Amino acid sequence: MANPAIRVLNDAGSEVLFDSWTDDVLFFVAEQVVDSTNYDANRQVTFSYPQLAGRKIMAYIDAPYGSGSISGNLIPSCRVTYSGTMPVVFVFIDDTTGAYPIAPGLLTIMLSGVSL
Amino acid sequence: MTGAVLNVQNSRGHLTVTRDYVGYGYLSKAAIPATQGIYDIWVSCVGTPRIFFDIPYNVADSSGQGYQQALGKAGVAMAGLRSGGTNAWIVTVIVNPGDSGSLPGLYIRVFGRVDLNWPSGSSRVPNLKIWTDAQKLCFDAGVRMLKLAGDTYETELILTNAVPGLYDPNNNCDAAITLPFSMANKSIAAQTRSTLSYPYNYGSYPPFDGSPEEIYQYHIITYNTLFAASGSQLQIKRCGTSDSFTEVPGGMGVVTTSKPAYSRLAVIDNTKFP
Repeated sequence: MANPAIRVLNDAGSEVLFDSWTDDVLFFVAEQVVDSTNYDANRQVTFSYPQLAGRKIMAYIDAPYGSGSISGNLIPSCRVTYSGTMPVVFVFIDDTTGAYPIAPGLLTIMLSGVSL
Repeated sequence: MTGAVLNVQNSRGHLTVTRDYVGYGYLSKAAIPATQGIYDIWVSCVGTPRIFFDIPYNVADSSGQGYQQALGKAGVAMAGLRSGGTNAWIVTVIVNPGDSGSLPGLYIRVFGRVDLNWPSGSSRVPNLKIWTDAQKLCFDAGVRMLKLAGDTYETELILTNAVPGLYDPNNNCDAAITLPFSMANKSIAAQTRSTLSYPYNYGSYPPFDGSPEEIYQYHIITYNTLFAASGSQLQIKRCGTSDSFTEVPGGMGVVTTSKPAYSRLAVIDNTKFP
């Protein structure tokens, strides 16, 4: 154990459950609902996270419907980009013309532990 | 001790333990049905769960021709997450075994925020518990804390085409990336643009009854965006899960504008979360 680290073993000492020197983790930062009222005319919306500037983030948007066109709802997608060092999450609806209602999405922002 | 700082980094300088943010802990796993279908799986978690799902590994795609090839592709995806009541969540999973007929032994794994799911900390002793300034549990050595299979933070799959051609299902409709490790026995957290029913017009004829509207004939294929893996390659692909035929006077509106689907991924090693 040459390096300073937090290592967690199981009770038998036979398995390393966590090792702060080797592992990569995700931290919870925030979550918010994105629904049809949030989108602009192009069916997209961006969220900025200046408080997380300089850090890499991950974002997921979970929609409640399992099957887009079968249940008649458009499913949101998201993508992480960076404006300089500031994380920006771009949420959009795939189909820009369809008349189906837009499914609400739950956007979760997580911190990766990695600096930009 | 308000204001005390604790930041631990790994060998690559990535933050791995901190008092500033709450981590995730492993709660449970649940089996994914092996045969074709769209399934709701109920899980328990306080607060929104983070779901990782197994992907089929080295499963052969269909040897069929034309659209039969799309119908024979194998893959799995998580297509939905919704509340099922207090601390209950419904995970919608799409399974398409393709020609293999069955994809046995796949699971979803459920992770939840440690501050919400272990509000007083785990009961394991001796133990290391770390709390934020706001007295939220953020790290607990008695819980299997979420850890990824290496640094895959920048992993993203981009699927550009909405639907493949009817008789050319492999043309520009699939994408893949190579990860720095084997994808055997791995699970991913990822979102997809899910089900899409697409009508292919294959002909038309004049109406028999003197009606002014031409009758258009369509072959409708329902596609799902699913994941599979081969070696160290992670694949995203349009799999046809059903097809039907219909005839419509005057024709159908067809979605012609579509944006690329971006799927950002986190990968875990299943052996760390039994």
